[in-house]
Amino acid sequence: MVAHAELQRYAFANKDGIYRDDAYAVQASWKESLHIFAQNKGAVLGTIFLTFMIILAVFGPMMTSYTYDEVSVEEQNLPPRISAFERFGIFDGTVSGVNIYEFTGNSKVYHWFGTDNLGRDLFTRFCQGTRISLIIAAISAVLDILIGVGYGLIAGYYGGKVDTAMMRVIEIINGIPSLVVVSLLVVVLNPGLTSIIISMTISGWTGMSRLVRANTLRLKQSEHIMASRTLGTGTVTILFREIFPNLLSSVIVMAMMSVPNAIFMESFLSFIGLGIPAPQASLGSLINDGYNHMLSYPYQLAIPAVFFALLMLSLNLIGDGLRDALDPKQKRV
Amino acid sequence: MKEINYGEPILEVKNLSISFRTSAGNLNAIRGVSFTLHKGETVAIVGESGSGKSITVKSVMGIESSNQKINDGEILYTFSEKGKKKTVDLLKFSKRDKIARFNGQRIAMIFQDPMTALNPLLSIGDQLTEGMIRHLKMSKKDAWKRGIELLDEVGIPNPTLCMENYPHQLSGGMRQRIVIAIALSCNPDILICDEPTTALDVTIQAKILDLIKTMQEKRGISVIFITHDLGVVAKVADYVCVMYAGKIVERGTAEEIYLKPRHPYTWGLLLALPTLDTTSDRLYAIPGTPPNLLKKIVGDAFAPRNRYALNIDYEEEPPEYQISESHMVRSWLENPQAPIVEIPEELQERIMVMLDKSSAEDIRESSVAS
Amino acid sequence: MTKYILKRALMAVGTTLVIIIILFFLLQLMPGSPFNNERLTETQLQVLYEKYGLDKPVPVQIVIYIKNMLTGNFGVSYNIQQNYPVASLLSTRFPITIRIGVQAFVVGVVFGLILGIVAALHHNGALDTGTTVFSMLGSSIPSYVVALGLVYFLAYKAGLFPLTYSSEHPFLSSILPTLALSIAPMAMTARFTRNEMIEVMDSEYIQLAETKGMPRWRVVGIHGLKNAMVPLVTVMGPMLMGMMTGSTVAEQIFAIPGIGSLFITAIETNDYNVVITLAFIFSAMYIVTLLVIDILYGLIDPRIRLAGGD
Repeated sequence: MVAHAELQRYAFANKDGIYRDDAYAVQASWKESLHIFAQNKGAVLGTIFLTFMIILAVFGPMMTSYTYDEVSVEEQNLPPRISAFERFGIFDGTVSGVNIYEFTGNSKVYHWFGTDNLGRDLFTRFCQGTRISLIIAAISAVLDILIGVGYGLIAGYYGGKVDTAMMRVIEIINGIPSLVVVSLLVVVLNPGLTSIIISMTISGWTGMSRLVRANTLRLKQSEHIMASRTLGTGTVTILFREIFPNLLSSVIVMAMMSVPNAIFMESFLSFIGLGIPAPQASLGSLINDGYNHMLSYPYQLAIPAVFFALLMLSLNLIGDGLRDALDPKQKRV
Repeated sequence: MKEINYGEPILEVKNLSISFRTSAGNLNAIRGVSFTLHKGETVAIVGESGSGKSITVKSVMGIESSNQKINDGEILYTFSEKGKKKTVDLLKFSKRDKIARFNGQRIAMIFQDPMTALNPLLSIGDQLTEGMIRHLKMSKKDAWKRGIELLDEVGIPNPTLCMENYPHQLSGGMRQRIVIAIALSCNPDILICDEPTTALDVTIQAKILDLIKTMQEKRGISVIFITHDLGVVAKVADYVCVMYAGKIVERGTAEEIYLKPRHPYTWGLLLALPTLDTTSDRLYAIPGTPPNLLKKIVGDAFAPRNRYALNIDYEEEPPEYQISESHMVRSWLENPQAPIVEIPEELQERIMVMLDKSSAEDIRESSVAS
Repeated sequence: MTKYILKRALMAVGTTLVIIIILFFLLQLMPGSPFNNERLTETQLQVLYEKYGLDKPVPVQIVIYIKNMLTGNFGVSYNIQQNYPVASLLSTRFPITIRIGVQAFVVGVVFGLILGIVAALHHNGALDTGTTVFSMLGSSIPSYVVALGLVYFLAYKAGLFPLTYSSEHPFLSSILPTLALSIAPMAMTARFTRNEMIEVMDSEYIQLAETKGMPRWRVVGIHGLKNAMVPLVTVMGPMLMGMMTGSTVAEQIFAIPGIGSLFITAIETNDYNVVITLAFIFSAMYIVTLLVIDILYGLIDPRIRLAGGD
């Protein structure tokens, strides 16, 4: 028996033509990307915070009994007061040992983030401001994609003189600092949601179109596009069926990266007095309002500034995470 | 049996074992590699990509990546310094020391892709002379002059002009000649060629091979030649090591590997060579892919792809079987208990053709004699 | 190289001209400009019409306008300082902005480079992680939030620095604004240098330099850094643009009498001549920097230099 077992060890193991091939498990690419993204702690934290901010922006104003533009003379400049934290001695409405709420005869009132100099509830204004800022960023990103992708696809696909001319236009736009373009346009168009979005789009789409153009130029040379062209596929079909899907991941990454820029630009406009007109609010205008009373009521600045910084950080972390997962070769500017 | 005339050993790699820390776990890239390089001769290391050829020689030069760990082994290098013979273990030196004392002056390397091996921002002259200025203590002017001579020697037309050029102005073949000139500039004892012809056009390949061979003969350099192409090896090598999944599976003189191969993997590599001489109308390819080295390998790593795998191949690793003084095989087929497996007929046929065609009488003699 | 520089310079001039033409048309749309401002008196309008030759055909007007802008004849301020020439308004403010901008840029780039190189050489080490976190924070948090934080904590609470800029202590009072403005370029430089250096140090030409037996400083400094600098130079444009935007707000926060705060005042007071002039100055500064960057790029990279353009 032992001898037989020993002999058996030296018998052929692989039957004719059948090999035990140890192939690597291949994952679907989107699953792989999702996995990479989920492994990135910063990106996950960023996503959680962004989700939190979106929830605040959508439902926040419904969570309070105030509206963002409700003025109250009795409740001016109140510090933050949150009932759940009161007994821990934080957010209890006291400044230097004095409970301002009781002092001003508002002992039953709770303003989570306090009030501003017109007595408006800052939490409601904060949620409203976040909503406006996110709307501006989202619409600008979508417009960037629409214009940038269209322009880039055409320039890249047709190439030659068309491309040269179209790129000259972009070079000129890029030669003007966005500070100048955006502020002048808003001055001319009068400050408002629409004018802010329009001016930011005008200065912002070039980056996207350069990316799309470069990738289209490269893809145009690839074999599957060549094959498609030889088979007589129409230009539009090639552009949107063959080329665009290959660009999608880098476009998504680029759009995500442009979101924090848009939010920053909006806050900048608010700061130089070209933002959303009062009584509307945006994150930038809240910071600007807070800045005017920074030394006497620091919380009016600190709360929106901290959330704003965290939002910017989250968006950048998400952008980086998306880039690593979808388009690792793309560089960040 | 024909007497084999070894030169003096100049580089002995003994039981080298290297792993990499990766995010997916420890990757055992080199699992006990040993070979010897003799003075003035060429050892070729052959294997598929990922078999660990490059990692082996990069550890000789100390240019391994930072997540690499050398677990075991030694690399003994024998050289003469101030007339005295010395043997040192290169692995005992820090990367910085190794680079300062040996690289360039004693051991030099040629890379696979000449398109990426030259610094795009520095002129050819700067890249060629910086070694000589540092190691040979030459003045910039002398080094420049010597550089022009070297470029001429490696077959660059108009070398004076070329010194001023930047890499992007030159073709792949030209760049590889320059990389060779850089490697030779400080008169090294050992030249490591990491797939020096793979990235080049077929027409250029032969010329670069000839150049390396001429330079070797002229200067008496010892060469380690890495390639995945056994066809290239035939032109240059004295000894051949066939590497698979971080281990040398067969080692021998060029004749032994080409005319009397013993390992099924070597058979596969030889059969995969395209040739005009056989009657077969189909090109052979070794089935499957190399194993995932992140996993622990039980038994013979090649077994899953091996038509002749035995049951024991899945249980135990084959030991080294010494066929002749120079010929070693790691395969259970050499065990007396194993079934007798002949070289595949098709390969046999090819070897016969090769033998018929070969004008070298001594090769036939040696094969008849054993 | 000469051909390359000429080509770039020509394009810069072209862009400048296009911008002036755009500004000419924007001027007519600006609130507070003579074309839609009822507050201006007959005589003021008369002066304007003569000055810009508004009775002449549009192309001639444009040529006159371009000539005026390029010769520094920017007209007069209407609201900030009545009838005071804009050029004189700028002459005291421009150097202050430039000084603080250059300070911040130098501090940012130098420290960013050091951080980036150190991080790349200790890839995956503690220093690397620290640099990554810093550059993430630094490039996310807008410079004016940093400026506000610095003012509140270092100037107001700790009293270490003056709250606002003062011309009596031009250096001491410029430390905080410089710091605030340098964070973003520092973070960006550090991040870019780190990423590029890691990639470059992994390349075959670095390995070749090592197999040549080159010492560490030469491998890192000559072979590594020079290659890592190429892409870094290209992001200096956007970096400067960010600083320009940041300095506008920082000047407002620190009450620095520079052109940034003047820009904000001009917008608030609808002083159209000042707004348009500053827009032109900002653009001109930006175009000049882009040109300098292009030339630098050509100097570093022979592939650009020898190709002679594009």
